[in-house]
Amino acid sequence: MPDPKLPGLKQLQHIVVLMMENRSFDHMLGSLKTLNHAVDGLDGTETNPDSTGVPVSVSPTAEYQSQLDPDPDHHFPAVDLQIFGGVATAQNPNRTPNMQGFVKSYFNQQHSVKHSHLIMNYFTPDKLPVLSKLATEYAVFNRWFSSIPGPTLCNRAFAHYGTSFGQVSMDVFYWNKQFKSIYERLNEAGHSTRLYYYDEASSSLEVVNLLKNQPSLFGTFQDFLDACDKNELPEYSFIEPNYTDHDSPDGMGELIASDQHPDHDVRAGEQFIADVYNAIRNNPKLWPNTALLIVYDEHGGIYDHVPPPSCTPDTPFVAQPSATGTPDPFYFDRLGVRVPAVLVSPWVKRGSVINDVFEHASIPATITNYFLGNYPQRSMREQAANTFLGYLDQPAIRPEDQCPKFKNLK
Amino acid sequence: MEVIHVPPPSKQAFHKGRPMSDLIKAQIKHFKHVEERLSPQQRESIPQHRITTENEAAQYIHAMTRLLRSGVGEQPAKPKLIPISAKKSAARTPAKGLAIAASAAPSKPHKKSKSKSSKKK
Repeated sequence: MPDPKLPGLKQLQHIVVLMMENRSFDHMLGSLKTLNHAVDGLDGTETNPDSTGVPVSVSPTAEYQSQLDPDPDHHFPAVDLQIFGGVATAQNPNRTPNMQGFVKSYFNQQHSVKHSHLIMNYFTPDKLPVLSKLATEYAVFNRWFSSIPGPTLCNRAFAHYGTSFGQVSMDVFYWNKQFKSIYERLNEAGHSTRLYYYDEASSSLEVVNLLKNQPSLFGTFQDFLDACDKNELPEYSFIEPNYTDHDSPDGMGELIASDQHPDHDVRAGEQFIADVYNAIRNNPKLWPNTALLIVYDEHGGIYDHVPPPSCTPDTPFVAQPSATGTPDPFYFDRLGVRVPAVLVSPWVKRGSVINDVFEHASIPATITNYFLGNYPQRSMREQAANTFLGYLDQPAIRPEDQCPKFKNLK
Repeated sequence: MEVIHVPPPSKQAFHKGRPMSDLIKAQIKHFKHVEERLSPQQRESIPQHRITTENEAAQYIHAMTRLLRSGVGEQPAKPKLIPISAKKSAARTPAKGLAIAASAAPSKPHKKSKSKSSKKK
């Protein structure tokens, strides 16, 4: 429980969450270990066996685009293989989360041994100047895991609702009235909140419930930028990147995907993260009282070396084998693969490395606890989730010249 | 601290003819689910072209999003909304009674389901 007397918390008025797409921690930030040994990243000795049994080492040769095509499988059965190395059932005593099935899983898609090795590639800090700089200048989470060892939509559901209502797939017609979204909770209590999708042609992934039933909750990314400029930022903002390469709806040009989902160019996502950061950072009326969390929804089938831990089951939800595509039911009692997560605020100690365990249910847990306080009608997973505002723990705000600035090149 | 320059994507990176990912297919599926519940009049403005590429998906999503943002949903929106431009007067303090617990609690043994899957991996 964070100390409400912390100066950073006394000032805090806005929380912004930017959720990117489909990259693992080691793939994006694993090389930071070379700069700071407290980061649980890669030392270069990590391997995975390929389909011929040959060990494949991690390699600092990730490219911005073209290596991860086809899109690595990250549906539940594939992630189960990636985590457990192919020991498929809990009846087998050898089933342990050894993170040894990533190359085998990628091989299953094209049956190309050579191509399957690319799943072990990672970026060096110089190739990701924005994410790496924010991670080293503010706080990086060593243990932020996706909520489910599965794909995007069920994981994003945890960020909105603190649960996926028992779903482990993309076929997420999950909404029910049992648990309200964080936006509905805030609205009903008189707090301001928005989901900002990139534009109407990219839109939101939260279609079936919120966009359909509560469209006034939404805005575009331009609306977010305008809100920052006008000092009208809601108390809680959730930002979705551009999910597709598409013509601008107003016919004014071409808009490149910025979500970093394979095989979209990672640099476009870097610039997008910089845009979000700059909008807050460059406004002196926002910067001291805003916390920004940058997090990825899931690992996208890409290698990470840290086994996901067990967690509080999301009782009463159970996904049966027909849903998981594996021999066993899933009780939502294990987290998914680790993802990059960075907490940005001038009240965060430079170079912080956070070792507590987090998952996406930590997002509504944090927002609810901060703005609403006691709120019992929450999922078991959200009730158990750690919250992250306690890291705004510096006695004084960091000086202006100690907080990085970015300029996007054209 | 020096300003950090962020390189742009390559000129060749933009590919609006790229086939849709599973993510966009799921997004389209959800929009179709909503569209099927609209009245024939409401559906008139929705393009019915073949959707295989990212740009084709974007054109359809654009039309559906505009329609939904105009307030045409299956159920009328009834949120208690307040203007987002609410003045920020006093500094906020965290609400009292924050309940935080470890999220990595050891899993408890579960009663296994009697159903057995015949699915192969």
